[in-house]
Amino acid sequence: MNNRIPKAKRNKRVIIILYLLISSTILSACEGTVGRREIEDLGIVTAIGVDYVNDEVIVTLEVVNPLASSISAQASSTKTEGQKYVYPQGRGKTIKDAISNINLYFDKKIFLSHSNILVLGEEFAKRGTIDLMDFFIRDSQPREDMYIVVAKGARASDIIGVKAGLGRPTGTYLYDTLNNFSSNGKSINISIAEKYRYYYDVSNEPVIGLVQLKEVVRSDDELKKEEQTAKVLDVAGGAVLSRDRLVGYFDGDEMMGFNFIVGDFKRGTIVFRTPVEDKDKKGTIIGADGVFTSLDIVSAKTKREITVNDGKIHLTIDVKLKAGLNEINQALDVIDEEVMTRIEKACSDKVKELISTTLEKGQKEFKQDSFSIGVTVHQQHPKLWKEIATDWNNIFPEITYDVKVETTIVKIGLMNLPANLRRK
Amino acid sequence: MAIIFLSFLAIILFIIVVKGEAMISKDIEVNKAKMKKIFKGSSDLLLYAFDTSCNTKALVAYIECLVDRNGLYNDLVKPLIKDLKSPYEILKTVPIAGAREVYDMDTITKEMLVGSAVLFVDTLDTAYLFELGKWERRSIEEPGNERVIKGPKEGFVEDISVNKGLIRRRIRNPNLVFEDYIVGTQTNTNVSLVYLADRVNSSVLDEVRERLNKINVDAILDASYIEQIIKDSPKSLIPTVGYTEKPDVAAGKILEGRIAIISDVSPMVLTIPKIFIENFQTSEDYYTIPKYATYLRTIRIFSLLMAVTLPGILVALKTYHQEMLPTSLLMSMASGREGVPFTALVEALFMLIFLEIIKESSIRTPSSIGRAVTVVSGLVLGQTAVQAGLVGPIMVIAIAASGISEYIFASLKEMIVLYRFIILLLGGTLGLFGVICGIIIIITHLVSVRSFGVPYMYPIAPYDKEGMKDFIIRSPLDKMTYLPRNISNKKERMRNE
Amino acid sequence: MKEQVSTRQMIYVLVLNRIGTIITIMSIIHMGPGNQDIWIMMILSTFYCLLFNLPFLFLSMRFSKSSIIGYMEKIFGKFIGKILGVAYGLFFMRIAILYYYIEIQMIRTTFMEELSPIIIVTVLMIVSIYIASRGFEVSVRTIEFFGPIVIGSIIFYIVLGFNNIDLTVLLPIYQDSSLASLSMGALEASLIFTDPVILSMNFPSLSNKKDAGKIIVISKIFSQLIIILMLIATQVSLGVEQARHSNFPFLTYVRLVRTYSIFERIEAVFLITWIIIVTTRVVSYLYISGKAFKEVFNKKDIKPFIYAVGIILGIIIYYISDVNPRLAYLYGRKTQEYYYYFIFNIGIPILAIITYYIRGRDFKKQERLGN
Repeated sequence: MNNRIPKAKRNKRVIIILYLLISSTILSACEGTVGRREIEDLGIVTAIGVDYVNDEVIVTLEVVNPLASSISAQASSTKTEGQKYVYPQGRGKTIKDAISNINLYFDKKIFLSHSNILVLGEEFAKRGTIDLMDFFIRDSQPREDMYIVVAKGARASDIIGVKAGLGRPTGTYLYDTLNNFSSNGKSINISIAEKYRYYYDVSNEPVIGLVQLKEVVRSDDELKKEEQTAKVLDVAGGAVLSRDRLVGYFDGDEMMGFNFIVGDFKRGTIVFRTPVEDKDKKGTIIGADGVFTSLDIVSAKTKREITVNDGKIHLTIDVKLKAGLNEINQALDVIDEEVMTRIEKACSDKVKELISTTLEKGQKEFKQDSFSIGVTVHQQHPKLWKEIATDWNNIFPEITYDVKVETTIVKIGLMNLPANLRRK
Repeated sequence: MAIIFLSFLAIILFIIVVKGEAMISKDIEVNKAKMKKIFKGSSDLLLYAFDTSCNTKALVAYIECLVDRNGLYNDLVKPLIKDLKSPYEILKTVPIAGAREVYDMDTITKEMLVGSAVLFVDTLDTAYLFELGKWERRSIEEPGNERVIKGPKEGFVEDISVNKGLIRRRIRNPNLVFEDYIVGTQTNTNVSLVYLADRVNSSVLDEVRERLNKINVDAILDASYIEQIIKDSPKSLIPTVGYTEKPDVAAGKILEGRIAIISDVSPMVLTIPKIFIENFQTSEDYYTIPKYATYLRTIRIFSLLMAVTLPGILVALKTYHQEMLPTSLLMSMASGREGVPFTALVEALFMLIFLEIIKESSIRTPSSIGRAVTVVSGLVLGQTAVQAGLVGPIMVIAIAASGISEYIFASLKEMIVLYRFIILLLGGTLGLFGVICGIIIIITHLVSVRSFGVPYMYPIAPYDKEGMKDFIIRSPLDKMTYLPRNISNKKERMRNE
Repeated sequence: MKEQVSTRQMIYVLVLNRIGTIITIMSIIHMGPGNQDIWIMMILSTFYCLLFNLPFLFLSMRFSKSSIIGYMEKIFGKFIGKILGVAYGLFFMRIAILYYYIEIQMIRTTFMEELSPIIIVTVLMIVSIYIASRGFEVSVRTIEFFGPIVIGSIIFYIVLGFNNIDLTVLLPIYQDSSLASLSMGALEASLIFTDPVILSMNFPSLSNKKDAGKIIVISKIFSQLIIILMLIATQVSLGVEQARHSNFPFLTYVRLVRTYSIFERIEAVFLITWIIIVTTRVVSYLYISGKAFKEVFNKKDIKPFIYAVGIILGIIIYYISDVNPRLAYLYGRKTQEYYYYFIFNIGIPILAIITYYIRGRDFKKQERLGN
């Protein structure tokens, strides 16, 4: 206890430390040194759109007006429904420049952290994006897990502001729609970080999500005399990039094939024509060609194998599907094992067709590897890969492939025989 | 020479006079005068002179209200008047246990003040003390602060001998030792150390004895006086001395090797050493199913975190880290804050100060209008403050949740309230960075504190496997086979030994 | 009262220290082959780390009552010993500066973007001086308290990121890299850890000195396990190349976490964990730096030295972070860095051992006289 400091001295020290603490607290409380931003001063952005017109970047934002969109405001006064979302637009040389220019006439501080969607205009995507996109991964406000989509045949500013769904902001609407990807397999949701992950892989060309403006006719609107059209945003399909430039699109069905190839197919519905009738054998299979059956894919597993024969690369895609019977529009006896096998086979053929179409398009039209097949070669034949890596995009269109699909129906639903077949 | 002689004489004279004051005279009239002089003629000193059966005069002196009058008359005065044969046979005649002979006035004064009656007899230069103490005391009831659903409901009272009895009844063991002290120069309060001789940690015991002997204050009006004086690091907000009003809790702590301090006139029994986790333990934990007790302790720890940090974290999130809030919550917060004139920090401070005022007023108000205060404060300040746009609704929820959580810990009240303010200020000025710096400093302070040599954060830091059995997870009783190390005397020891 | 540090506490100190080296800038992903085989390299480096610990362990066991400064003075004589002591003190300060500099950079880029660095430096310095001045026992208890929380939350982040994880990134295993490049990388990777000095500076306070070997082995293996987990999680969710482009790869990994719509945008929580790690780490260096100077000047009280070192650190950190920023520090993998680490971690101790054996007779005489 000898080294104890006398009490008076201790007190003095405590006072000095307290003084330092309080003064630094007060100092930092002054505006400017700490960057305090109160919630009500923020312009909460839910979607960002980027266009490139006449050598200028145009950024369109969707900003929430909290007063109009809050639940309490809706409950208290439904009539004075102000503008829920505003769409400020800024121009500049870079994206950051354009965003800060918005604040010249927009009163709330732009706050990008809550944006889930980045829409790239088609022109911008065709021009090449990598030199302008750095802001989104370098700055801490925009999130790297923001979904990135290309506006097919439109500018981003056309997309942002389309009110669809239940009157929710475009950002949330698009985000939820893209998340449905796992239940239809016709689209793809790629975040900025994922896009860059594929971009950094030399052998691989990214495929990112797309959004399309569609007009639909409202058929049930009988009260109005004129036929009304409504704008909706459709996310089926995928945008194919070559490095960072847009080169083309896959449509919805091709995206299904794409997802099968890369092994990202989670769930979805496969629609195909039922097998041709074959009455002779047992007389149990009754039906005519041309009617559709749909199977609900419960799980899909893709295995890709590369074999090399005399320096030629051969790709085997092996897909194993588990499916549930969703609908049969034909009098098929599903209890019969043979019938089931035929349905399974028909489904497999359909999937095979989907996969081949997509691969064909990739090889013939885009002439580049969008399917990470180079990565598979790298993983399975690392030594071969070292030789061909630099030349991969020339080799890829020439590789041969075959597709094996195996479907197993694991459930047939609530019915056994369809209604148009009487039970014996 | 003369001066030396004179001063020597004066000293002798002085000694005689002083001695004479303290001596008991053979004449009871002199004694009577002396008593009156000692007590400054106070009106509650009663002097009762009577003739005994052997024709000597006797004088009984006692303090009103401290002595059982029935006992005095039946057991003391009556036998003396009827059966006394000679003045030398008083102790044989009087049927009172604990009677003894005394020779000086000082002892008499002290004993009279704790409820004894003194008997002076003519022709004798000694006096007799009879312990006839009896005074008004509260009956044993359930303490309001530590209510339980399951388990014993007795509570300590403001009387040291009753309290000793309550503990002794629970530990019927000759190893249970009561060690008495008298503390307070003016109040002369009885204080007693209670411990189990074979379990107590001797270094802790020595430390406590030393600190008790060092106490130099004039008054002990409550056990908390002792707590403040003997606790380690008196400036710290952290309670390093435990207290309880329930004998079963005190007995449990003593059985773990702790020391209890009972103070007269206080229903609170102090237990030392106290470690952090004791704030989360209740007696009921040991009476219910272990898994449920574990669940309750988790909730308590969570609520301590909430009580201290919730306002600070919310303000930090609102002012600096809006990206962490869920989007829909952010929107509703933004709409709630639209039109609120203050910054989030000021808003929180405002609500927190009002919370403290409500708490203070609802404790101090008479119970008849207490309900009205609660209703008014709850409704007016909560509901209308939001409607008037003074504060946002989320802030009200946070402050209320934090305030409610605080009530779980009666013993940590001071710490929670002040640390909450500090964390709030840090959160409002430096965001989560400030909050975490504040938490690091608080934790460092917590681990650096010791309670009578035992690290406060035992058994987390320093870690002890046996101690962890009664930490967040309350193990079944038969699994807790070892006494907590550090607190009891041996390193490891079977409980059922 | 003599400070006592238990085995478990020391293990936590070393584990947090090693995790702290990696969690900020994760310099190991640039080392060796720099591809998906880094985790093999890290397993290899465990052995190198154990090997590099031996010189100090040997010296500490021989002179179990003194720290580095103590036995350097005994072995090399007073004069050289004091010079080495000052050098070690400066070396510890340098490590503390490096890590506080990175901490301030990270806070300024992501956490509190507009907070001025003078406030960050002041607050951080107050916190670390406060903890260090409480003595090593208290600092170690603080670390012991936070240790499980920190390690638990790191594992929690790794678990939360499960939907970003694509383990095929790690394929092909051990094909793109040769054993030579892997072991060179492992050598590099084991040099960036400076935990041996912490153990040997505080060796006298260990309550059970026989556990020293156990402490080293357990802390190395345990921390290496967590480091490899973090490394794999980062690489497989960001991709090998993107992780290398990121300044703070694990932070980027945590930014990508998006699970159950509650655990999204949680990097501020991660930064809390991370501030705890870096603060506890810097506190240990601040403390041993103060201790080194204390022993050099033969004083009893350590507090004035800690205050002095802390204030000097604060000024230097402010200078290099705001007045004259050196972003190159972020990488910490310049060649000169390895020289420093090699000299202080391995070079000087080996030299000391050699001198010890050359002067073996003197020591025996001293021991006889001393006892």
